Amino acid sequence: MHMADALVSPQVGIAAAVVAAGCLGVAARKVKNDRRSENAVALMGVLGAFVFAAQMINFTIPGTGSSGHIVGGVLLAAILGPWAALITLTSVILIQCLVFADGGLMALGCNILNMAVTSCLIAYPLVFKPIMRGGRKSTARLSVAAIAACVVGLECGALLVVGETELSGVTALPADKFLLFMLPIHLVIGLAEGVATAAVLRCVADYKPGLVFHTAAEDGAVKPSGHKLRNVVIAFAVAAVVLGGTFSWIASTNPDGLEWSIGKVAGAAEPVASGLSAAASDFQADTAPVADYGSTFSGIIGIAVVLILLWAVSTLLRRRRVHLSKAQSPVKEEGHHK
Amino acid sequence: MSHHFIRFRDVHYTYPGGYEALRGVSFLITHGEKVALLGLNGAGKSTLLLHTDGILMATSGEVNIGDVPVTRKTLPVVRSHVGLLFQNPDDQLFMPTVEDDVAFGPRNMNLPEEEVERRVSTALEAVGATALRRRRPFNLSGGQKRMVAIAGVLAMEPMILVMDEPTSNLDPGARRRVIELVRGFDHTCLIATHDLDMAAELCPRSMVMAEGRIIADGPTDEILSDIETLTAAGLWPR
Amino acid sequence: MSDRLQRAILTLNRLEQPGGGTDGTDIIAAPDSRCLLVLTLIYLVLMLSVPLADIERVLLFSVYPIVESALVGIKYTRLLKRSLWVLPLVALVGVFNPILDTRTVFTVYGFTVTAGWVSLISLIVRGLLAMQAVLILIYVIGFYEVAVAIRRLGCPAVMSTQILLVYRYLSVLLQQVLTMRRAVDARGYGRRHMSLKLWGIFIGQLLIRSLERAENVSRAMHARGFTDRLPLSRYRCWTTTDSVLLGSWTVVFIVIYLVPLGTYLSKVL
Repeated sequence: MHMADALVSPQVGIAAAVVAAGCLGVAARKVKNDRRSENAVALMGVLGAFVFAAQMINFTIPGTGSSGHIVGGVLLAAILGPWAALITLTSVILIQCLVFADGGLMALGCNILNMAVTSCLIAYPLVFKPIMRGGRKSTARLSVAAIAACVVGLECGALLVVGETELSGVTALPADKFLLFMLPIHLVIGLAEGVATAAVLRCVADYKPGLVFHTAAEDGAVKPSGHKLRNVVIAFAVAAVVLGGTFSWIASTNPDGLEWSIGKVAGAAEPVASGLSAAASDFQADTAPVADYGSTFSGIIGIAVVLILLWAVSTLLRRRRVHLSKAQSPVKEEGHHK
Repeated sequence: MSHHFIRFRDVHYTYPGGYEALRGVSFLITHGEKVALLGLNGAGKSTLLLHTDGILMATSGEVNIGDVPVTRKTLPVVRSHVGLLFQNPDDQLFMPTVEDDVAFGPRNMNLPEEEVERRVSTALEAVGATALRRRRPFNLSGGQKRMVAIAGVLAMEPMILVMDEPTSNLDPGARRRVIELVRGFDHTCLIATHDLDMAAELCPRSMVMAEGRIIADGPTDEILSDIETLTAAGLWPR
Repeated sequence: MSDRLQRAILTLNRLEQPGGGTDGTDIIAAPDSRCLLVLTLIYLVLMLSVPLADIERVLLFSVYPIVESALVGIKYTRLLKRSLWVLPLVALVGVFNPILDTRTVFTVYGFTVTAGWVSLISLIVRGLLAMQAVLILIYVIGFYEVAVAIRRLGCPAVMSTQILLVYRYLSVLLQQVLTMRRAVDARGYGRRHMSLKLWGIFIGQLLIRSLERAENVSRAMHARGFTDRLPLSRYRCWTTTDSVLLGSWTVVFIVIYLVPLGTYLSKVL
């Protein structure tokens, strides 16, 4: 489910990061203004670590024989409220990216959108909350709410993954086929996550009913019937339209927006280099049957040779510097195990 | 300079769930006394300790730290007088490095950075953990964690030290070091513990708790030889 | 699955040892955390903007991990090995390209190299490089400094406090899960995964314990005068070296990005 850097073009990565940062900005303000209790800081911190640990334990998906783990967005939102859950899950995704190299820095925005925003700001307020609000607070209702919310959250996530990948132009697979592949898989995953989430929530409900079955009045973060929820939905719609608009604009005017803008900035230097680039394009025309694939075998070999030389030089340089720094402080030998 | 005593007057505390943890606790601990608080798990020791620092507020009754009654308004004063050591050092060491953790209290008191630095160095030296300064709490040993947690409390320069099971889960060497460390303090000390040997060694006075009440209060050697009381508190096999 | 747990705990511990990312030696010259964070971002943006078709330029971008790792004292082979982890995911997405895009790019000794293969390979190279850049960042300045850099670059304190706390309790909770998991395995008669029902109870237990721990942590914070953010220290100042490092690398990246060095090289050969 984690998107990697290689699969995301910078335009998509940055656009997603901007939207994610916007959501987080709102969340940071909300959480700061109405902390549910004075324990909120520690609670968010420890539960972040909890979700991380919980993701490490797999369960058997009934009827399939394979196993899976949860993302935990709906679970966190049910306990912490959507905004605190968004921040908590984001911190988990960031640590996964930086410490465990799951996903990448450029794809961080996408991953936050796909996993945290979908479950905390879409599935929780639009699915979980409404189901939980009506009628008697029973564990059956809790299960239905959890399963429905998880399915919706994961399908939204799958939709975003397909959108982001296609817009980044890294796959030759057409969007409709990709969707046909992703949506059913995530339906199954969503069902499993939902059942698992419900199981945990039931367990907590036995222990501290107030934690799961808090009434609308207690839920300081989002007033379900008030205008706040509507604002979230509107903000989302606007973000989606802006995002979609930007994407399609970039896609239609220029397949590579950044290259285009840098080319514009560097435009002044163009005439000087024109002789060289003309020669280069002549050369390309001879050898490259596909116009935009300007690669040649000899070019690649040349680069490989340069890189290997560079590596050799760098290694020598590093050894020398390590040697020098050790000579300066002999104490560091202690840390040298191996 | 009369902040060094702790007085509880008929303190009751009921947890939000309805569990009555303290049922009328009264005592006075005067300046420089070292007192052991004995009792089984669930006798109310930890609940009582949390009242000294205003983390829990009495449902009824009154807690005084020196002249200051513990109320929401006086919390900053109370917390600068009372240093509370938690049972599990992992819960207490939440900062990313040892020095940041020890500096946590002083920085929250908005002290100037030089003063923070002085307190951190002094506290780490007092517990003999200067070498751990730049380490992360991740891979410290149990004993080291406990020492650093104590340094974090000492850096607040409290007048009263309140400790919850300072020797639990320690190997004999680390336990010995903690005992020697506490022996050297001239603070007023209240120590909740199951470690009867430590109580006998460190604390001239002991209080015994059972079911939210103090059932005995007196010189430690007398209490530890009073089989009847110990049996009633569940500290001695029936 | 406790392998995965143990590996995670190991990764954490290794990172937290002094000079954890390097081959047993301390980092020689760590730049300011903000400098390296910004540099990494610039690198990623420019490197990932190169069209997949242009495999030569993508390859040239490996100059950064090769040289920078040497500058700070990390073995490049180690970086390379660690970054191979990204392969499965990238390959999964790119695997259709050679099948679907069969235009010929060039021929070598009778072998036809198609556009699909070129894009798959540059996708893989991209993946490796992006990962290596992030690894350098984390190996050199450590996670703690990244959180500090995030706060110093203007991110709300709620966020950096949150990141630091999660990071702190990660190893504690992972250790707890490992212990609990062993207790389950000890009576599990060799079953590899838990049934959903058992899993729910297991994770529910973990959650309840975590909630209790959170309450204790919170008490410990308030006992030492906590208000609403973790006070941080050890601000390293931005030096000229940082500016030079950031500036020169940025120039290198832009040159690689704009100048078709590969074409010149192929003419030389």
